[in-house]
Amino acid sequence: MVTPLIVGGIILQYTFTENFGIVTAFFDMLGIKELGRTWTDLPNTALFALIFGSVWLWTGFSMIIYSAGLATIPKEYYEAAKIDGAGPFKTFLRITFPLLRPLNIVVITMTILYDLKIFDIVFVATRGGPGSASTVLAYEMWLQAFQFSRFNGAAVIATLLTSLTLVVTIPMIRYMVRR
Amino acid sequence: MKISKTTIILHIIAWSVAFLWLLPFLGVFMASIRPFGEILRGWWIFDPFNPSLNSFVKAWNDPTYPLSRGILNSFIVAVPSTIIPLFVGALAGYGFARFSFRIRSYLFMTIVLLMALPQQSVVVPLFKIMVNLRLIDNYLSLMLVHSAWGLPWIILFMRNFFSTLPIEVEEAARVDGASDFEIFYKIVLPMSLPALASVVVLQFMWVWNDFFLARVFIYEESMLLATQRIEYVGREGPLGRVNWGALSAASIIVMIVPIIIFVLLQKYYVKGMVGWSVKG
Repeated sequence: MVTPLIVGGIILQYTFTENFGIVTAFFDMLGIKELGRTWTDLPNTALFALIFGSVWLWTGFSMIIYSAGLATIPKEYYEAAKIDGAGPFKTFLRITFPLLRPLNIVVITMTILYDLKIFDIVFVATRGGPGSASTVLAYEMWLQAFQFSRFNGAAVIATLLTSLTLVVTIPMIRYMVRR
Repeated sequence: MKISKTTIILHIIAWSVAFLWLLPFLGVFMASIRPFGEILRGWWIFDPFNPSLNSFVKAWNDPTYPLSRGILNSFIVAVPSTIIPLFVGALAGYGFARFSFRIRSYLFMTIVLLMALPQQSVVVPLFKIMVNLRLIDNYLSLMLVHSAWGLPWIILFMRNFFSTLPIEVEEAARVDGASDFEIFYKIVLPMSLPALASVVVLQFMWVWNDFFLARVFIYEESMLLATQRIEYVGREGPLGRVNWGALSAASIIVMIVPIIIFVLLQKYYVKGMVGWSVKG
């Protein structure tokens, strides 16, 4: 969360590199040779390396939000549930989870927005490659505009990206207005 | 006190997950302090183990792209890009919290909506503007864009904070004959120091960690920011051979600044993060 995404990309590339990356070494040890290669160099695995990396980098955000939310739930609720004889699982399902529901919409929206805009880790770890196996809208847009000087194409991608983010954001805005 | 079995199991699970999450960082750290030959078969093999700071020195004093210069450049950009939106945003947030005018709610909604916008969707027109202003390869372009980009969330965050302040204090000051600006600078701002600290921490970190905008606006070799230099320090050519030692050392040097800030000012960071996204 605090890590610069560009550094996150480097770390993720290192983690998925043949022989000395810990993930690839793990699969190699299990005898799954296909997953023991450098993930970011192969079309079938490059995108998955990026997915795992972005999950790994973004988990801190949801953790901060949920832990702040958990701190606001009054202790009395749990005491009452205990008196009524609810087990830990039922307590979570009936008290914790419903009370955290407003946070779900925030976390889900923010996570989708973050992943739609993802650029740095793609840039540093795979460059959208091999070929175009792991390219994303944000990276493709940068490529069109600043590498190929095709500003029209870049504008099309930027518009598409903007409409996608707006579609994702509207539920959250509506929720915020209602409060 | 008796510790129940479930507590122990839960702790073991929590610690293992945390360890799993830290493993990649540990790997990069190992790669940065050990010669490449040692980590070729995996950094978790500790035989032989000869730690040294050579890679850090190499990255810091790289002949063509010294990271020392990059760190300095990043500070030159990040400090004004934090201070400008801090004051503008606080002023605007105060306006939204305390004054009513005709289009207030629509204007506010627009600003909140702007927060969702990806940088990629505006960067092409911004680039053209900066070309026309001859501000490419000039930190002014980055400072302007970062300030503008930070404003929506700062306005939202500060407005929410100001709404929680007791209005009686301000009313009392007004009765005593203080003007709006006097009230803002002498009474409201001193009361808002914790919120301002959250803004500083988050905004500074975002500007520091930014790579995309820097990549678009800064090309001149000596002006590259820290985040831009990492790659040049560790790689020969765009997808060329990787020098993992220097690359890892450079990553750690760039990463250490936000981490130090986070460790020292964690309280404000978390408050800012939560207030920014939850309280809405």
